[in-house]
Amino acid sequence: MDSIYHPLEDAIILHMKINISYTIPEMAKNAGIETDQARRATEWLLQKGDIRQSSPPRQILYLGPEGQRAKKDGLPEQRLMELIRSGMPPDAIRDILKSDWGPAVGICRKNNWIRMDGGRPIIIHYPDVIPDHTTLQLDWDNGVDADRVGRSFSKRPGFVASRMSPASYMLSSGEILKQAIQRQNQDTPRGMNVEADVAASYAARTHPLYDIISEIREIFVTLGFDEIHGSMVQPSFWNFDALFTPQDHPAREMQDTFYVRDVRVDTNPINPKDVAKIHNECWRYVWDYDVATKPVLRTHNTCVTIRHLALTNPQNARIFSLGRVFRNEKPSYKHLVEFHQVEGVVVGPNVSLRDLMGIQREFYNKIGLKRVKFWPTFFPYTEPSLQSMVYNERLGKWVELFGMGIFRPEVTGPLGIKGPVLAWGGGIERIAMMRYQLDDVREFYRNGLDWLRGVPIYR
Amino acid sequence: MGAPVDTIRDRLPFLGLDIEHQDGDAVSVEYSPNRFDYSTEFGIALGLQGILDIHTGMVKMEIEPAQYNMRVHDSVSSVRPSITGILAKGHTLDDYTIRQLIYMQEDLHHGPGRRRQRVAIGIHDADKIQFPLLYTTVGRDFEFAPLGSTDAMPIHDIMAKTEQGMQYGHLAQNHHSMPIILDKNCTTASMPPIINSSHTEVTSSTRNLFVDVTGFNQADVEGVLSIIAVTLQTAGYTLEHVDISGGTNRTPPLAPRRISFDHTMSNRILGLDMSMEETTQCIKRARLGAVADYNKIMCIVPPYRMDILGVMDIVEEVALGYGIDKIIPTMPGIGAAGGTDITTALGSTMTGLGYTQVMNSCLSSDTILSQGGSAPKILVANPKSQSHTVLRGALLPGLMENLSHNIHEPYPHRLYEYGVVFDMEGGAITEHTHLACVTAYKDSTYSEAKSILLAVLYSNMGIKIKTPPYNVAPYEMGQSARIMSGTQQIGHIGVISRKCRQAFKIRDDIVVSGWEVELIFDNKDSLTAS
Repeated sequence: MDSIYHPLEDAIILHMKINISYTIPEMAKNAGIETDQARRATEWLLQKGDIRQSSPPRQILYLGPEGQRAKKDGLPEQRLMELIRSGMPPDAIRDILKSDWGPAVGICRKNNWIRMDGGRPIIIHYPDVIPDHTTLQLDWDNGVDADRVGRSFSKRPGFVASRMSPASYMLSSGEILKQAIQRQNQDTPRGMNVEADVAASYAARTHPLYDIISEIREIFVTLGFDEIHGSMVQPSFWNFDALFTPQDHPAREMQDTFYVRDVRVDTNPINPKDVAKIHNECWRYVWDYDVATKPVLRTHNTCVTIRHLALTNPQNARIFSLGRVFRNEKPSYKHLVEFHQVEGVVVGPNVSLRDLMGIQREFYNKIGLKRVKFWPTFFPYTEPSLQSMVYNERLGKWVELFGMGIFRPEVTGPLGIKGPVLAWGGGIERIAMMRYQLDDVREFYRNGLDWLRGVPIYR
Repeated sequence: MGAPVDTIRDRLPFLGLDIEHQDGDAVSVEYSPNRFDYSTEFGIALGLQGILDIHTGMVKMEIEPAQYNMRVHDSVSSVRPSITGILAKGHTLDDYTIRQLIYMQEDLHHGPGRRRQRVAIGIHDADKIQFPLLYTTVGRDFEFAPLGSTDAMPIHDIMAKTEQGMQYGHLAQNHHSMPIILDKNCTTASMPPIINSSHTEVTSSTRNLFVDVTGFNQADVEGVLSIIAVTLQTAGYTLEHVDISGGTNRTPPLAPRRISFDHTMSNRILGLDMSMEETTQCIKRARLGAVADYNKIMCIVPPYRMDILGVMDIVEEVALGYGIDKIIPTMPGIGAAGGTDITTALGSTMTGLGYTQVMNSCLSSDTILSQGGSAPKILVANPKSQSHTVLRGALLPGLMENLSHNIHEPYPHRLYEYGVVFDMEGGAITEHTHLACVTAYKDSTYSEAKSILLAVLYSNMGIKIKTPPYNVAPYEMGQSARIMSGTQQIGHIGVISRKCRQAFKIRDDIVVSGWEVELIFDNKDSLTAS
């Protein structure tokens, strides 16, 4: 498969000649790119084998101040030999050589060129070539590879200065250059490093809980249900009294239910006298209309469905209501003060408890919960009453979901509702917790972007 | 006769008992507040006997005729008029069973007793009582030694100093005189509904019990008494009547009721097709009496089944006797297509513009609303959570709170919320759906917010708007505007003030717009026309 070339790589190749070595700064300069870019591109090209290192990084020497002087005036030992040969008296030679006298005598004696006779240098052997003179004649202006300079030269104080020279590189073959030229002439978009890390992007999205709510809404619509709406602040009448919950029932106490202070809400009762009568008879107390007018934050959506049925009294109906409900609790990982419920009813002359169970099973099936069973339970306003248990695969246990039942005659009778009414309802957050594998229900209302941006949308 | 532990455990939920947890053979269950007879293992045993076919039919209450009596003085009629009672003889209880009885008593006090207001129960060592008893009233100077104390003290001290006096004293606060049960020697047995006397305290050596139940009507007190009576009978006691007379009181008959039942009706409700005989069997398995009689079933309901109000309650008994797990669900045919008027259009638009949806509670806190420039107006009574004390009047404070919690997440932050806010008009509460969006990052500008606003309202909905200046919290002075459609204000838009940002500990610039969704939808025709 063809390798992918970055524009920087081609920029470098196209500015190299065959068999010529280039350092990275040279390549950068030639290609008109940053040194850093050239360094990266060189790494990539080395990995591809398109270039090779022609020389490693090495030490380069330049002449130091003493070296420069020697270059101009000659090496001290050379000058000494020449002055001796000219016959100049030793004192005069000393005056000329000054501080070079000592080192020059040292070198000449060490090489056996002279011997000293009472302070007077005498030539033993006049060398044809002063060895370091050759070194001094090298191309010092462009720097000399440290390997080419003998120790005797480089050890002289102040003679050389050194610095590191970068590695240099060379094209592996002429073919590389040819291909780069071809690529240059192609119109097709060039490839890129598709495996490189990139900066994160975050898709905007609807809230995961809202997604489940929408999904549940869609399922009930698909199952033939019409959605109805109602207020969150309800008169106690529709939240409790109409649902056969006696006025001294513990669920109605401020400990469990939010009463809204200093506001009015229209009670809009239907047949309050009949409701009063059934309460008085069955619960043995005196029903008080004023208590029924108290505004509460609805504790369930059944207040919405029952009122709709009482107003419309349909022969056949499939209705659902979906929205927020409230409980006066301390929030915890499993309880919220405010959460969502969906509540539905089916009215019809021939509907039965089995149908109610069937609708639940169908709903759970559509939302992806396949293992469902039913247990008997108790609600003040339904009889018979059941609860559905759904198997939570992740927790490996059965959990309670929707409650259901058939509205009691004590509920439907006073409101003038005919025929059996199948009713059910339950919390949506619990289903959402299963979907999103959460253990703390408060996560939905934390609105942390770390979570909102990261939750998988699809199962 | 008995049943294996596994079978019992598996069937418990089908009596309506929720399994709380289990540890080996020990199972904790929660019973529903209509079946107080399940508050001890004796009651649960009676239920299991039925559905496991060990004993079916009604549990008979065998009560010996009375040897003793209790008179009721007229003076109680204005304070706590109803009383009933029974003797339970010839058995002793271990500590574990005494504890169960106390729990049952507490549950009955809380449930049907409404924290002793409606019904209060006293359980006494009958051997400490010299019959006949007198249920009467006494003044608050009257003295006796209350349960838990060896010394006699006047009633006003008992009310002020004992735990029960302090907890339940309010139930009698309007009475000058207190109801009291005295024996032949004028020794106090009980001062309902507050406390028993220490004289009649029950211990593990007690062999004979006297139970009194007081309240405000015969049905309540006799119903509760019958639950205690059937429990004590099942525990091994022999029940014996006490003759009661005076006022509207009587010796409790503890007699079953008869309800005529049509099995075709229960078939229709349950969706089953059972014969009258099969239905009768199911009812008996639920521990009710049942006799097939021509085309009807005569159901015989023992007095302790207070939960059975009428035939629909018997339908449930049929279902329980049949076994809920044996009822196969059916899916009724779908008639007309369903529908909803909820639109996701605005949400899609906001998502398309790069805004992520958040969901906040309608109940917020004073602090958050005030910091976010929305005066807390509509309060709830006695909230348990300090973060949920007031209904929000705007969405913006919640969004600011969200930004504040997300300062460590990569910017820009673009959030929107779509939800109900609350207000008052002439003392009546109103609810409206709003949409608000916030844009937070270092260089966010008013222009961007306005551009987004126009994208939603004008480009997507065709609503022409103007933005005349509008100085209001929490915006920076001179950097906010009303959103006007014709002459109607539908929202506002602006740059969040430095002060508000500081309150929420946010460094980056924030621009906001919010508007009332219902106003747009309800008036869309008129708004687009102008």
